Amino acid sequence: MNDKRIEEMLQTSWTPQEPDGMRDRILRQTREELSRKKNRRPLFGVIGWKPALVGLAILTILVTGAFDSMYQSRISAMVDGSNPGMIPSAMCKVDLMNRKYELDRLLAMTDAGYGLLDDIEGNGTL
Amino acid sequence: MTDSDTKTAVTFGISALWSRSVPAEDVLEQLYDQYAHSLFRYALALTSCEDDAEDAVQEVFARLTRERKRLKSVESIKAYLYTSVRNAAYSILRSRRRRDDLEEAVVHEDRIRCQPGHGECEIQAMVLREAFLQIPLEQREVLVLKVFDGMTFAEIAETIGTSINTAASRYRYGIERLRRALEEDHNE
Repeated sequence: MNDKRIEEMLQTSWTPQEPDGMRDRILRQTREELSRKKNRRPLFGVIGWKPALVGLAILTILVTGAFDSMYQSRISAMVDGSNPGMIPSAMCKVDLMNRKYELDRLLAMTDAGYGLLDDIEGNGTL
Repeated sequence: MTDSDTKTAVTFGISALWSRSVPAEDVLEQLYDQYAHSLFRYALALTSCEDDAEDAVQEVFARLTRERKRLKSVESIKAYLYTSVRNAAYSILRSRRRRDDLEEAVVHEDRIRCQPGHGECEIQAMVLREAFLQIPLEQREVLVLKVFDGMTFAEIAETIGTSINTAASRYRYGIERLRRALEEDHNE
């Protein structure tokens, strides 16, 4: 028996049929799926989850950047205010010396000089 | 939808099916009428169960609906559909194995409605049918695609993801088994 003959016999001996209503079931499901896709409303103008995810990622990056910038500026402000380094200290010293010289100069211009203060402290009156 | 639209779709690939001028419902209906019978037969040969075969075909059409925009790169609708139904059928077979229902996967002829052969000796047809349903799955699917769907070995190889030589040898082994079964019955 040649191959062709076996093929012909097989074609006539095995002839399965689709179950009743299979066409309706499958086409109804596809129609429902299509109408579901058509009726899907965009959320905040965004259709689909991928663009929404991308938008969320961008927003997260921006917010993180803003917070980081704020944090860094706050930290640097705190460091500037509390730094006991040489430069602010030296500036303070120079300022104090200048003030002392100015005070001395002003007192030297008065008659009593330093004694005026002694009088005030000693007598309680001028 | 006109005949020319369908011919255009079939000739120029699946992307032509989703043009705005042709409603998707009509396209799917047309595809169903054209391919569902062959797809069901192929799925039935793989799963040996009508319900599972229908599920496989349903999954193919559901995927067509869900992912139709992604299908623009598909060149051949026929190859796509056969490969999809094969994947769906194997997925069903795997889940059936997971459910430890493998014993039920053994072909029960009463689960498959078949029409008796016309002009053939009914006993011989029955022997052939039994032998066909008991040959290994790999050989059976090649026989279905070759004998019932008239595919070439190149097309079969592309559909089932093997070489042409493998597809041809599976066909050869399958035919030999059928021949042996018929000869044994004849000698008895």
